[in-house]
Amino acid sequence: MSKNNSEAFNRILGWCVAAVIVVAITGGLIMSGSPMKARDLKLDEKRLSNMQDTARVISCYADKNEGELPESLDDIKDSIDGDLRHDPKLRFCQNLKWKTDPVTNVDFEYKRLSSRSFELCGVFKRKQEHGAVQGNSIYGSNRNVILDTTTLRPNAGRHCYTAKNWN
Amino acid sequence: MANKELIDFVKQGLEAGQSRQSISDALLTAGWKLDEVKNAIHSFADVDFPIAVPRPRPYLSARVAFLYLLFFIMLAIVAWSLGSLLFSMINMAFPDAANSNQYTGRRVIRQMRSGIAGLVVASPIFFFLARFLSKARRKDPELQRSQIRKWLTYLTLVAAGSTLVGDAISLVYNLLGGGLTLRFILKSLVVAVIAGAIFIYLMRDAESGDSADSQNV
Repeated sequence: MSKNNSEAFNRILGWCVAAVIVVAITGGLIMSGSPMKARDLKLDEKRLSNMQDTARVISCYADKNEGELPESLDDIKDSIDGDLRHDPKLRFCQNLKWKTDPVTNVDFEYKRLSSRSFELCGVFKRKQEHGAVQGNSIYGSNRNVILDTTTLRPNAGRHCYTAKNWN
Repeated sequence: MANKELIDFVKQGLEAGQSRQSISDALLTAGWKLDEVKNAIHSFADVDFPIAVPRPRPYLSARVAFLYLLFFIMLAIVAWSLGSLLFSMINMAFPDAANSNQYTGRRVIRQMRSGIAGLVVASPIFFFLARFLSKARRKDPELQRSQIRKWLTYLTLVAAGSTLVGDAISLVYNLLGGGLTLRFILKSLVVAVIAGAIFIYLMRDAESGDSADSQNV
């Protein structure tokens, strides 16, 4: 094998490898989406998790209020810091926080459907591509999951989740 | 730094009263390369003294080791990232109905991102080092004879060769178990191409390197 021959082979191999790498990176970027999209999806996930927390607060309020859901959010917000969080009977309601939209800091839209079911709506940036990570599943517990998130959001924009028959 | 064996020989030769020319001739006949022989003889000063007088000389082996280690680490990162990126792309394009849940989509995208990140950072360094080292080797025969380079080359060859064999075994295993899907075949192909390219490149490199070790006279 002559030296020139081997150098030419290495040069061609080098260019092929470089081409494969460039194609793979481009394809990967196309398939995994732009960083802006990733940011939006992350915020949407945070938004949904905030909604779950807020829904838990609402459910706690109802549990304390003889099972009656409030007519509007104004009824709840006053009692969160006070008796709701420190009531020993509502063990799961401790350390709860009232959460708002992570970007706009506006309360989520609340609508009472019946005495034991309600709807919470938020405005999302993108359609949902992957199922929601359920509550704080790291601890093997779904007790923070009140809203039903089994179906994916079909498109961007306002979306409402319902909660009923929680425990 | 010239080969220690060579320097010892030159030293003994000079102390035994041999001329520089005859030492050089003897070494060339034995198959050493001209540059190396010159270097070795040059490491002793040409002064009239009963024993050979060494010149101060630079020690390059740590630098060589550093460059080659870096090169092989970059090679590993590039190969791994490329494989991981292509695997995740295959997983996304051909989802396995028997094996998916709410976490798979996220995991695939995360794997894709880390593959892209690895390639973006490591491949420029890898190509730069490959070019730099191959140029340096053409100029400097001591680099060609570097033990570190040879050991790393052969160790990587072992790894690439074992990967190829493992790949073939898993193909046969899956064939027997009825799991020979398009998705699996594509993945095996990815492994075969990456490990095969490394294997062929290093094998050629090692063969031409070994044959270039001695000068044919």
